[in-house]
Amino acid sequence: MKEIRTETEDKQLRELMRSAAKKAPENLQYRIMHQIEAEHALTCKKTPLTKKSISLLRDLGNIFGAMYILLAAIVGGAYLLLGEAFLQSPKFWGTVVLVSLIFSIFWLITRLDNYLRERR
Amino acid sequence: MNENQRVQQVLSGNTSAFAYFVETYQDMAITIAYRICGNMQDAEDVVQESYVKAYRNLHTFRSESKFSTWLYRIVYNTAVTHSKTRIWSGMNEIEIEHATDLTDQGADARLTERERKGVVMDVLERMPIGDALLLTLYYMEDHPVKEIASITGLNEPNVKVKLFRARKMFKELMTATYSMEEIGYD
Repeated sequence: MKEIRTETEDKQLRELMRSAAKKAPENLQYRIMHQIEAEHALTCKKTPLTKKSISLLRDLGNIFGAMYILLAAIVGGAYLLLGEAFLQSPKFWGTVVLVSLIFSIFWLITRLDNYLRERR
Repeated sequence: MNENQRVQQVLSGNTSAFAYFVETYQDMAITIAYRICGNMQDAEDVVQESYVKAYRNLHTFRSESKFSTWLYRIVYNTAVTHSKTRIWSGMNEIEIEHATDLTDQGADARLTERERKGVVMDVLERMPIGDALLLTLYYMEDHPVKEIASITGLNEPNVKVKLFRARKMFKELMTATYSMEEIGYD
């Protein structure tokens, strides 16, 4: 299929086609930008953290926060009542490990509970 | 400021920078949509929807292609979905001899700009949608065949063949209704 086309012919066709171009109505740009800005505003309202991650951080903060407060109280109480030597005894460290373990297990149970609830 | 910088601006949250793309490409976008949908109301809806889609998916835009090509592809796809027509279905045989007789509209003198626009519009509307669209893309904005292929999803040889046929049909329809001299096409 061979086509013999001259530049003049192309130029004329171009002119004809351009004469038939459509013009967007004046309010179209406004409509588009209005919709885009509305969408942008709605997207910005969404918090960057998801509900799930917020709940995870809250649990973590609550449980381990309470654990550190309790440990601080134990250390303070032991220091005042039993003296510095007690703080280096295996009995004291055993207590610290036990408290940490209990809170860690509690946190683990909370996570498991959340996971099961989400699945349901 | 080039277009990639403007894209980056929009992506960083400056939505008003997107107005540049709307202002620059809305006329061609509406022309493409109109060719496919066949009426201005639907074409406007399609263009609005396309721009919103483009905004939402701007992060997927790769600067290897021109922004206009990427946008027109969205407009093309949205218009095709919206109009539910098959653009590249078999050639609709146009009955050239039954073309509306426009020769009564004062054949002696050359047509005015407005009349000529009407004639071209009329001929394009009588052509198969795909062919009219190809001519529009090729001649209105001087899109190379490669870009047209990218917008329409056709391959390059196919675009060339269809363009050849479209050009031929356009000429035939024009000569069937008007003398080429009348419309200033020698």
